[in-house]
Amino acid sequence: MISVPVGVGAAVYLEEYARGTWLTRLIRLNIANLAGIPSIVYGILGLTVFVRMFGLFDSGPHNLTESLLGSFDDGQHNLIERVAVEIIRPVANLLHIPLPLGNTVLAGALTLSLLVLPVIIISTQEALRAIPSSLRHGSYALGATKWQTIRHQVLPAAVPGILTGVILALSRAIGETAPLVIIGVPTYLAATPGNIASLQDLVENPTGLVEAPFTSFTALPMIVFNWVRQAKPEFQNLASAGIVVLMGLLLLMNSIAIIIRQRFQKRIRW
Amino acid sequence: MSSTTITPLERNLPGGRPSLARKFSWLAAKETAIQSVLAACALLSILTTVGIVAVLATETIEFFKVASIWEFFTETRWTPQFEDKHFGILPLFSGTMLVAGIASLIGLPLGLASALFMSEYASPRTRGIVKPTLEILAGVPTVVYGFFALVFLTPYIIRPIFRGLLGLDVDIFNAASAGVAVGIMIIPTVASLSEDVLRSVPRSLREGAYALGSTKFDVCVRVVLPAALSGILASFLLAISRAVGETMIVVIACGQNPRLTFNPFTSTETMTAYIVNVSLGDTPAGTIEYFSLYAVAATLFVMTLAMNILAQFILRRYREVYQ
Repeated sequence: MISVPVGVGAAVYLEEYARGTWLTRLIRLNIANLAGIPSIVYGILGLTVFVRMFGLFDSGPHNLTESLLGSFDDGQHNLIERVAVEIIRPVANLLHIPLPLGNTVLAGALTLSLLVLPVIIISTQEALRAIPSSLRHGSYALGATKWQTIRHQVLPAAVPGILTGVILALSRAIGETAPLVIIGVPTYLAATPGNIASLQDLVENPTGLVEAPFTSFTALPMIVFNWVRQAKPEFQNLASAGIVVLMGLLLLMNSIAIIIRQRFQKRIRW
Repeated sequence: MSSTTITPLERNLPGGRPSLARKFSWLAAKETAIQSVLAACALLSILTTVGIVAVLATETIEFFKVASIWEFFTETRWTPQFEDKHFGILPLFSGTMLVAGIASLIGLPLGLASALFMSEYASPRTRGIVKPTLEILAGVPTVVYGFFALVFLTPYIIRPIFRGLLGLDVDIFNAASAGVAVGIMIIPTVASLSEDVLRSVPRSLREGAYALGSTKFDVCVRVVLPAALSGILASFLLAISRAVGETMIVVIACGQNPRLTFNPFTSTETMTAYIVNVSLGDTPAGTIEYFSLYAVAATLFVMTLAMNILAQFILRRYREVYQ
């Protein structure tokens, strides 16, 4: 939900709007590099930025902005800290958002969305490139503006390619363990986020859905990782069962991606 | 239509003709707004890189306030969690290189061979089976590979071969099983990238070689491979950088014992495994162990970034231009 709009938007900008300035070349090089960075580095980024939020909001001993920017004469706060403490914290308290984000679904989601963003951008770029220019030229000839062309002609034609890329990126995000380990996801939790135990719970008590992004969570690869490291053979059986579930889910998603790709390739006649 | 007198009311166009454009239209404003939003999305990627570099750099500087740079690169012990602290990255680095080396030995030739098979020898039906299988192999989570290495590779393959037949001593956690698993993991990466490159070699090259009387093997090895060499090298580099950055397999199968050694049958620790193991324990923020985490991550980041940039450079500079 986070990475798809941003990723598709970035790819559209790079393919349709960007001129060949040094800035666009930098962005392209940047995205190619980001795609190759090990997932553990994204975990560390997520830890510092989303989970601990640079140490701004807790009274702990370490504060990244202080070591970066120094402090004012009153010894306590530099500018960013001031903004954080006096502006952002009251707003967050009003909205009941816990700061720093800590171990919440939102922190994990933001980290993983950064991880899959380059993959989505690259696959969307490929999908957009595969559309012949005659489609765009015909649309311009009928008097459409650039955005109208993109929105009504190019994007609908590129949807199968984009969808395939999104599903592949999603399946990668599902299987990733390293970033979750680094941001400190617990390996066992008795409750689902927001205390939603069934669909009936959701209907009776909809506030759970609003609370859910700000509560703690755990993930299947994390649980499997924990089981694998235990010594007893029963845990090996448990780990195998978890792996079967995980692989089944991933196989399902990859098959859907392949089916979408094949069905739409038959339909398109340029 | 031409006019000899130009009144100040007419817009400034060549020849004094009035401009028919509206000064402001909602449609144009909407277009500009959407373009700005999309540009912001693209700039977010730069923000991500800047964020990574800034975070790693500042915390690593904090680390080097306590440990010295010389010690970091030359000391052969890595014990930040013990009483007697030593901060030499060499044991972790040798662990990473050992695993990546074994992985490259296994993954690169097998991947290249698969790519050659799929692009030159396979019938379309075989290709239709092999390619999705490789894609599925690429989608397997690395925890599964780690589990596979620990539970299947070590007891049933590595130990019988090396301990049973050759009499070497094989720990339960060893770099060889992790290396083999990482090698299997990078086969799809090498295969798909190399296959794209091999397929882009034009048919005229191959047909010219056949016309001169070469066998199929000759054509593959002496004509197609050299033509595609830059792309294949780039794919090798990307696969090695992936093997270096691999985390979960080595955490599960390799061990927690940082040791400067070239023996793949003992337990060692790699850089990525150290980061994970420190995160799993309880390390308060602001201590030297916490900063050592960032220092190791910065080293890893620099290594993989260098390999990726080199791969891009090779791909761009030495790409063969076919007419």
